[in-house]
Amino acid sequence: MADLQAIKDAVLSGKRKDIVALVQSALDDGVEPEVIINDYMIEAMKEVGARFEAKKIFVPEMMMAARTMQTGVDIIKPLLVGKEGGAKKLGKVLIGTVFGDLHDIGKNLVMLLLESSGFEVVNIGENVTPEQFVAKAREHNVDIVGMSSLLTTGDPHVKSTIEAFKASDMKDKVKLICGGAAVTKKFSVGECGADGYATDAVDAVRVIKKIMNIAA
Amino acid sequence: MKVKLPPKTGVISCKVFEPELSALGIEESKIVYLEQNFHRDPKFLLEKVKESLAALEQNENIESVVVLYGYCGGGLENLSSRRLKLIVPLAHDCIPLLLGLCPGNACSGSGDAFFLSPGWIDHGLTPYTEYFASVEKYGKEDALWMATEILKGYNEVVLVENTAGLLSHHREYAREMAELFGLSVREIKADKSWLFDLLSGTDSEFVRVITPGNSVNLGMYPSPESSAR
Repeated sequence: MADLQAIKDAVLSGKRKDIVALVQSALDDGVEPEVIINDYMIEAMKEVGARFEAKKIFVPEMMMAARTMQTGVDIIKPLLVGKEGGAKKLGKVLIGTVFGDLHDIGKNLVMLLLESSGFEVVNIGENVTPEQFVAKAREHNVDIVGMSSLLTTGDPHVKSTIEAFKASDMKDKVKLICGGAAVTKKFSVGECGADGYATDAVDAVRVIKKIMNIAA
Repeated sequence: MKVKLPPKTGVISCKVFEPELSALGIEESKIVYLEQNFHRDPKFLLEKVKESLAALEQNENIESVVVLYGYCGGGLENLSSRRLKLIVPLAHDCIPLLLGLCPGNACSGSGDAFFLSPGWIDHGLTPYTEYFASVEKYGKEDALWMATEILKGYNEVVLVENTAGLLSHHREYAREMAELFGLSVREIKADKSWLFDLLSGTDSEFVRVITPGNSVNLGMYPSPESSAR
């Protein structure tokens, strides 16, 4: 009999090597792929997020939990092709690190948590110019644009990226959210006019859901 | 080169500067060291600096405090003292301070350098030290993946020699880290004047004195071309 709790535990503790056999065993026992993802893996990632917020775990543990979940999802993904439900998305988010900044760990964690929560995410990488942000948002027709800046020296680029959106044809089509160690709510929302600010990856999911009127 | 702190001056410093302060001959009794990894949570760092400052405020023999920290992503935002003068370097993090005032930031090299110093090696958490902790927990493959993810924006390890000399174990650490993660490695000698000015009370455009009642804020920091971590 499938040990579904063990799948959740494997994600929680980042046991990537265990997840393959556990997921395969559950599938062999006839457990629906969506149940494995939604009821166990995503639930595990929610718990990981809560532990991270409470400073019970840190970036390495979170990275390994996300990688473990991704490994499990990779096994399940082929079974979801053409099926509804598993592929249902809450919205589309474009995410990148602002110009002059090459840091991506936090941004990638946001991406993983958003994907785990049911969003489609387009990751446009690091060192992204304001013009690239706007062009990619237009190309991918996204609902939300998330920009990250770890360095305080990136503040002017957060501002210029927001200004580029406000001056473009995308200004009424996307909502802008900022995050990263260097960014504050006062600066990004108060001074630059972003639609939202998130303190960390868990908060980013919460804020985006709130902006999109999606129940938490 | 030795530095004499001005009278009635204390120091609150990140542990990462311990080798430099020691080499400059600053008395241990004048320094409060805080752990290097506090910078990972700027709010927590600020709490810890405030606690140390509050303790120094009780000491009648102290009138000024050198806060040997960069802005650290908000780790000093709104720091103030009712009684003490705060002497703060206008650096966004510790790396420019360790590199010193090189003209045009020539010391920093390209923006893809992961900087190490004796203090980072002896007292700090780096992707290299964390790699070994992760190996124990997750095995070599995942530990290497994690470190590679963290370092993927970097092409070289740069070992910085400021006032503290480099020892053989520092060079070995830098070389081994570079080798494990597929990076090149080099050493540079930093300009020492920033740390010297800061600690000796010398006027400098790169040092700000915050008078009692006023506070540190991001607006007072310049936007340098280079910032490292």
